[in-house]
Amino acid sequence: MTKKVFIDEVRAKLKGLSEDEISKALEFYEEAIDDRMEEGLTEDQAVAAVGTPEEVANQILMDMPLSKVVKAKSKPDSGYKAWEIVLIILGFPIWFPLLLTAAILALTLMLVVAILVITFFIVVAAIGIAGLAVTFACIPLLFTGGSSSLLLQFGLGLICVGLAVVMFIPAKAFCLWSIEMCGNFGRWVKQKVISGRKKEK
Amino acid sequence: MDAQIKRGLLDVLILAAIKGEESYGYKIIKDIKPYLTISESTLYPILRRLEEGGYLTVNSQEHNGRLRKYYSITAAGLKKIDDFAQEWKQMMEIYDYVVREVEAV
Repeated sequence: MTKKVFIDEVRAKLKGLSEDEISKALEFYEEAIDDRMEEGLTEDQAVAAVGTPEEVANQILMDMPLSKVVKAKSKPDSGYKAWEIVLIILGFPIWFPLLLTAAILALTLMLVVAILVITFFIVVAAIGIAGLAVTFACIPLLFTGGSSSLLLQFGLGLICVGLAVVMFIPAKAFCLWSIEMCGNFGRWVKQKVISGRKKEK
Repeated sequence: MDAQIKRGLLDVLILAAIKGEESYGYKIIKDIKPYLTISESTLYPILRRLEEGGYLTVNSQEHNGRLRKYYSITAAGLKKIDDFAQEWKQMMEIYDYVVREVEAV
């Protein structure tokens, strides 16, 4: 593959990114190829050493924010054809609700996870506060003449406080885990968008 | 090597490669090759990220009738290397302790 073919192919795969972004990247790879040729490699070898256009383009896209990748992906290579525009307009009642549903589903998923985490913390906090309240309420009564039921209440209060302290650890772990899962989900979507783009070619 | 660790190491390794004097893409790859082998497609996003973070600056200079981009380290870049060294010093102390304990058994 010649340098020109390589550069053109990468450019085509990055279509939709800003021109500044594209030319910056291409300059870098052009320089890499030139430097290798200066060292004695043939043009073919130098291009091969830098990587395939696919690899290069995907690496650049993976490092971009998701919104830019989606924008780049949704731009066709050579503008929309007339029948494509007609199809997009006529298909609006179909694709728009579908797109909306997908977006809402993703949002709901995140919301459910967030609420789950918050609920867990509230339960733990409630147990802790209730335990403290019961324990302290019992202390003066214990001195003025404690009955066995009072003693039981006092014990229950202490158990609640202990339980809250112990449960805080899994609650925190659960919270961190869900944050990580949300990050993974985002990366997965990005990967899907980029590899979907590859199949189009 | 763990991907997350490798990412962090690469940042510092690349900064170290331009610490002495400014350098360019292909030279950086050759300089760090004894420690980690990377390709341009790995290097490019890292250089961009380091530039955006203010850890290095880029300037184009003519070389053999074409432009070549040279990267030089900034004060923030030097500090990043320093922080890394401090952190690993502590880690190595823990490593020494762990290995000693394992061998003692």
